[in-house]
Amino acid sequence: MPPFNPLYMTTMEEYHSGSESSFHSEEADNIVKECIEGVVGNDDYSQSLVNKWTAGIVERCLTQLVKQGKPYKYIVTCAVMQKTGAGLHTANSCYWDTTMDGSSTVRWENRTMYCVVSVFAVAIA
Amino acid sequence: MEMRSGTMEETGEVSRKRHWDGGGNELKCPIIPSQPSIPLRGRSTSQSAHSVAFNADEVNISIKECVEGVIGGTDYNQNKVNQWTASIVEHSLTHLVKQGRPFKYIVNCAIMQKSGAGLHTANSCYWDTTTDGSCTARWENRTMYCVVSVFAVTVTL
Repeated sequence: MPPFNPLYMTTMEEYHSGSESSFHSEEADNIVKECIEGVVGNDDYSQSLVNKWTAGIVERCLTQLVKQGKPYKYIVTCAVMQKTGAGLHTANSCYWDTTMDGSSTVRWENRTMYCVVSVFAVAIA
Repeated sequence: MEMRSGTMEETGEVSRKRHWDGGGNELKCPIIPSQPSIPLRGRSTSQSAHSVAFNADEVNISIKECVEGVIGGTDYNQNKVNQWTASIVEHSLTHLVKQGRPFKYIVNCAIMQKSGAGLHTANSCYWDTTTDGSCTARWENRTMYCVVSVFAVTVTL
């Protein structure tokens, strides 16, 4: 039974870990970037399409992550915001096993919008 | 394990129809990962069959209290917003952990200035739908929106 270290951690940046059985955020980053490009690419912000985009991005990311066949549960969140000069700030905090679980956040933008995707991976005991 | 997606639509454009009421209640959530009104284990209507179900209603209320406590009554302030988001996630997490339930938690908070821009968020989870759950609380005042999501994953000991 793996040791459970409920270390309380607050982060506004990517989580990096050096241990072998931990979550590899670089791999997840690449998967996420490809999914975003594939769904949104060079399109301009469109209110009628944005719901489809956010749903498409999270589903595609999740499918790709699950395909890796690693023993994790995943949570993928995506926020798309039109570029108007407004401020958007996000933070997340996780209560989990810091040796095995991990997260990664990708920020992407094009001319008319920002897209922030976070992946949280929780190891299955 | 199953895949569930939830899409939440937030519109910051003040001249258009809002998608949630002033109390922060959801008006649109097509696919819901897990809801407290449906027993997470078994078919009984009482909760005594499973004492560790994720209670989204309770969590929703406690998150709104945390948010009120941190930013209630203040206007959007670019210098302070980082402190606010950090505070909100920390207080929410502390509160959840204090309940002593066998869950791992992920708390996500986004604060956006009201400027007419559109903000849309979605999340999708690959987990055990019978034991894990999530809850999203939306809060707003005159100058900003705040969206907090809590995801709870069961710990198998």
